[in-house]
Amino acid sequence: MQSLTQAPRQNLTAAQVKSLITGSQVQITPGLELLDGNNNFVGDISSTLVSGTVERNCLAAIHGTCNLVLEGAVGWGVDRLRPFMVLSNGKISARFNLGVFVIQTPVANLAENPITYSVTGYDLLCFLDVPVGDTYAVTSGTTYFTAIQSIISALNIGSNLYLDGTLQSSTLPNDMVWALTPGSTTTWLDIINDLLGSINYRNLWADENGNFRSTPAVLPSTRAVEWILDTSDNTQNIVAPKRDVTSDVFDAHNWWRFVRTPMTTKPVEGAGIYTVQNTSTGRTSQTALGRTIKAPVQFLTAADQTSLTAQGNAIVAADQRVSRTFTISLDPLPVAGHLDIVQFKDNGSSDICQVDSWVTDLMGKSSQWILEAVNA
Amino acid sequence: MPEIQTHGTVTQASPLRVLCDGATVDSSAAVLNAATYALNQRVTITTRDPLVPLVIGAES
Repeated sequence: MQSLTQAPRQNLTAAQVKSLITGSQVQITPGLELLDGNNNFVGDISSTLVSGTVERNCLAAIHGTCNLVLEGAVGWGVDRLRPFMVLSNGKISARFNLGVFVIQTPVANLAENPITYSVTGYDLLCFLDVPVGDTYAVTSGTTYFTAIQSIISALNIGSNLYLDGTLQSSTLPNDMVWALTPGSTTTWLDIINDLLGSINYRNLWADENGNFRSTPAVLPSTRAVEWILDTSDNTQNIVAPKRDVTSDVFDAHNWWRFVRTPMTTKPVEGAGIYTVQNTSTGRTSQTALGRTIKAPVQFLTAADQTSLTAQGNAIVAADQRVSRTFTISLDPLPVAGHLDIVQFKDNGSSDICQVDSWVTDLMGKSSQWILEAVNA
Repeated sequence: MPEIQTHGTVTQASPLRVLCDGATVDSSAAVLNAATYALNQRVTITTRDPLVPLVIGAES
């Protein structure tokens, strides 16, 4: 989630920003900026913006999309647009950037005067989600960070890359090769995410300013809560009355095995193999369901056993938490980010949830969020 | 990690490197049963991204 007081609202306090988001007498003004190929400001084209939404599906290949109606053409497939919102209560105002997008699919409505364009834009991961078209190899001894930086620099995307520095010195123990094959669809994003996954970092994402980011993958249940959604707090509640919860224990796994690849010796438990059994925890455990339901054995590219264990734990956690999802409508929460952690308090229950997807309406209407309970 | 079989050419005998057909960049490669191959020999390869490709035999 964006920090409450990060630029461009760094002159406000966290309490002031929170009061704007949760307040009732707040005016919402949408905006749109044109950026250059290095994500630098070119011009404000807010006057062309008729309506629009910004969406984020954190589990998709390209996470961020926007759907805009514009009264003017831009360079389709080239120009970058940055939608934003300004929340104001007459005394203070705060601006929230909502991502940088490349417009790919314009549909012109010729019956209107002036002509309007209904367009869909994708976040800057779309520049990486293209086939490599050749064999690509990273040699052993190269740091993972250098390998990723090299790809992004070579593609000349113009975005900054911010990687958590925890494993900045970690190097490839073996060559990694993505070989060209007939019908090969390996993308640069696949390669980067393979590299990040090898050191147990999260898949790359693009933030609200078009910067690429990744951090070590941490179990969602152990991450700090970034926002509290409390339906009983009338002074700060932004959750609409209609809300659903879906519970699903069909084919829920309670046994997992992960095998590290490559290995130069026979993989055994603790050295190349990591097996997890949920015997008694939660509603999908072997005890609760009365049987063992095995997940398909997964072969993971892992730098070492520690990485294998961490990757395995993340998969197990993801597998277990799909048992409950909340579908809710929210008033605009423009600090929303990537895979945020929120606490959802409703009717006396309290769940720690990971935000799988969200929609922000630029005009301020309530929009759908999907939360996964991670405290199963 | 789907494995796909393709064809290629040996660009270096030791340590073994191969160029998959259609590619402009070669890469290190592994072999089955310590088999040896000669420069420019045509070979059949199993790719297994992101592991190094495996040369599984010479083209006849």
